[in-house]
Amino acid sequence: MNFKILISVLFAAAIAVVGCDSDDGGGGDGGTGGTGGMEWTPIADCADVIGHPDGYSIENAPATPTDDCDTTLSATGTNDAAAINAAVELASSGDIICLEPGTYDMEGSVTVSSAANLTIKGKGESPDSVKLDYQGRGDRGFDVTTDGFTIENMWIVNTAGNGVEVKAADSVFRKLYVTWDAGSVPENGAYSVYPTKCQDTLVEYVEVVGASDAGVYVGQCEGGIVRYNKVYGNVAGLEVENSLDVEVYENDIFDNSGGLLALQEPGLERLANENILMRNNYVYCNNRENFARPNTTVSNIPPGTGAMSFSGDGIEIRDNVMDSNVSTGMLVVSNVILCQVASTDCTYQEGYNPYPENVYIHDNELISNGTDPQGILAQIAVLITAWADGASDVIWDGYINVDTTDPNICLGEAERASYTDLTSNQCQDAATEGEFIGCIVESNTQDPTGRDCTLPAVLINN
Amino acid sequence: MKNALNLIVSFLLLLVAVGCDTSSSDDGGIGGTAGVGGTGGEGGSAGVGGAAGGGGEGGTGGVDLSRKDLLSEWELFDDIRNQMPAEGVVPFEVTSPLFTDYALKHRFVTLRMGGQIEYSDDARWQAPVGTIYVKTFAYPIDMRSPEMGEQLIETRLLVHDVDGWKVWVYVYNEDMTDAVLTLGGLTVSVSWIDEDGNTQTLENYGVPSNGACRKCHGTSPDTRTLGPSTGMLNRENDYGEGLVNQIDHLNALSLLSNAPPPENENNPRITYVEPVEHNAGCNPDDFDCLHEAARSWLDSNCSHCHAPDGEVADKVLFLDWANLDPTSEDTTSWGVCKTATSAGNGVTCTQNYDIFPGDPDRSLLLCRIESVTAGEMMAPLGRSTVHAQGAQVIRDWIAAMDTNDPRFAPCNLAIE
Repeated sequence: MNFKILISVLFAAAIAVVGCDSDDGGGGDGGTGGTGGMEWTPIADCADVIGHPDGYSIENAPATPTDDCDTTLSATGTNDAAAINAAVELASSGDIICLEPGTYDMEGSVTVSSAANLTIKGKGESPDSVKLDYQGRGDRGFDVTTDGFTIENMWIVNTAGNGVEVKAADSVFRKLYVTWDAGSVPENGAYSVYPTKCQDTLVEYVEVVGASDAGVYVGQCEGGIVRYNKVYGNVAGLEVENSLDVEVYENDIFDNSGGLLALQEPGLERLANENILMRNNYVYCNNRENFARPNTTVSNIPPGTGAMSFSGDGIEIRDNVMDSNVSTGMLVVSNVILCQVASTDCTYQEGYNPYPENVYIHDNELISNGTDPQGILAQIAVLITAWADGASDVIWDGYINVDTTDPNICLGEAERASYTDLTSNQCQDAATEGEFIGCIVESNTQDPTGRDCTLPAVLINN
Repeated sequence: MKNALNLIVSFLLLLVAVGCDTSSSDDGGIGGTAGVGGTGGEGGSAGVGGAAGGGGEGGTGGVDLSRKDLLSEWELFDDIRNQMPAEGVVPFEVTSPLFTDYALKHRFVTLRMGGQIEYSDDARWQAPVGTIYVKTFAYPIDMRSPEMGEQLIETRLLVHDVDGWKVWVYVYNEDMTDAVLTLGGLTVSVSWIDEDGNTQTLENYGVPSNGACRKCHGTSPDTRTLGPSTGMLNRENDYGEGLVNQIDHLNALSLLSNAPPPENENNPRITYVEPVEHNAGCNPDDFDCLHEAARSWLDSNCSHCHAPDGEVADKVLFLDWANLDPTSEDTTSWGVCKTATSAGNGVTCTQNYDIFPGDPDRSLLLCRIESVTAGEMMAPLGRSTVHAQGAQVIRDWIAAMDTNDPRFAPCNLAIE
């Protein structure tokens, strides 16, 4: 069977869908599982044809207990956020607030800032039985600053800003849909599931679609598990940023602009992204047009990027399936190249290392990636002769800190992914885009010498 | 207990539902508040009171600081409708108020258990247990006829109880004889007659939930009282015998410890600038003058989150008075050429840098101040309109940054 040709045709179809505004709901969702009545953007054909992995979604989640509620609310269809806020205010530490099935009229945010160890959960058979519709009112859907918060078994739709934001320790996000009726558009909230400035978060069995920045985001967190989630139709699918000890496994990640990301950003309180393990994820068909707000970091992600490690120290990416991501399977880049591409200020505050170091990429199953590079990679691709049959599975920008002898970008000893070092550390002084691209054409290499190293496994303390 | 809570929540639902139904009427008044006071109020309040418990005994010397269902129970006013304070309740004004959709505000403080507020030259004043700060939000009825008075919307209390600060929000009934406790917030429609006789309507005036109050004021024990500071209160006020300095007046009432001597040339006090007055007084190229105004406005409108002790300290954008020291070399920490890490959603504000010196329209910070798009606008709470005067100060301030000064060098645009 000519698999390559089939895939190419499907890409054309997928890109055609992406090319329009994709809020037409056309194409049908092909029965992608038990979410009857939902109206979000359908899955691109590419992912349907490849097929979804078994067991990585809400349908496989454990049932939510409903006999332990301290308070139970019902939807009135009018100003239900005020009722939920009042119940939150009256709750004691450890209370469980339950929502009966129905559509809740959310005229503003739910703010949780008093009692700790609060649980808010839906009592429906499935998360879409309890629908919280914000219709663009308020800011965040949930705005939580207390420790021990759990949110479970509901559908959060049309928030103005982020879906569920938690800045605290010991949070749990379980069995949630977070979506926007408009599909995948820049007006949507930036993040769907957003634990940040946190310790020990668990994100599991959530399905997030349409975030204009990242669908599932763990940022400035120490300790986290992200698993069994279904993430599609976002700019960045699943992103771990400036965190420590986060394990990401068995997630179903497709049809985003970039699928799976480990980012280390400057300008934040916690400056390092370190000791991150991303394993056994299914990362495919992340070929959606990048619809991010211009000048955000994620607006620079080339569509068609399977996974991306952006700066960071101690990132292990292993045993994932990366399939049919048209730009490349995996980008390993520094903040330096982002500055060159995005024309921003490249001076960094003390303590921030813009270069990726100790990145270990191995034993991933790489299928049909790099067939049609997009974004900045499209400009480069036509000039790199080694990419005549497609871009490499792993692309590293090749920039190395002057104080570092070996950045330890390692692809393992055996069955290495195909690989390109774009600049061989030669192009940091390029002043114009033309000069920069010219330098890459001169400097790129596919020689794996130095990349055939191994690193100790990233061990997560959770 | 479970049944009791269900009952309470049912009452609150009723209360909220009633409020909303009324708010959609076309009476031109303060929609929504009548129903709250009239129908659901008593039932809901009784339930709330029952769940409250505690307070009023032990540690407060008999002074009752526990939650009240009605504003009148706090005995803060001799005349609620006209906001005439009771004895021992002292009014005060602040120079650079937080912008809240042009609402008129009446502020008071009372020390129910005696003691004194700890004065500081440059930090927030620390108030003792027993302190109640009171802030009423109102709109004029008819701007052509001030004698018609105001329509009172809500009164917010910060109560320093023995176990920490509490926030309580009361929404006025239609005849403004009292106000009823609300915990979950409320969106109301407010209308008034402007100077030209036209009816102005604000559809989405937001009465905050208790949780929303804590977004700015913090959660006990880290509660912040935001207004009372030397810079905000160092101004004149009329306490019935002509204009006097407020700080000196509070001091004369023995309400302040570490009492400051009267201000003079050798002993200047921090004094905030009111943006409205400022614009009349500063030349467009007078950066120092503009900086004082911008510093005042940013401190009062942004620093409850954007400060080292604020909720978004992790973003390292500090807009508090101390950090905006005009001699500071670290202008990046107040946004100069600081790349935005995340800038919410929305499609209007796409600038790279929080502040691009000399170029207001390239500055994300100004764009978000001028935005009314939820998720994009700053501040995110408490407003649905743009504070035109404040935004103008920030615009002029950025424009006046001298790009020849190394602290305000143009941001890098290496590859454009």
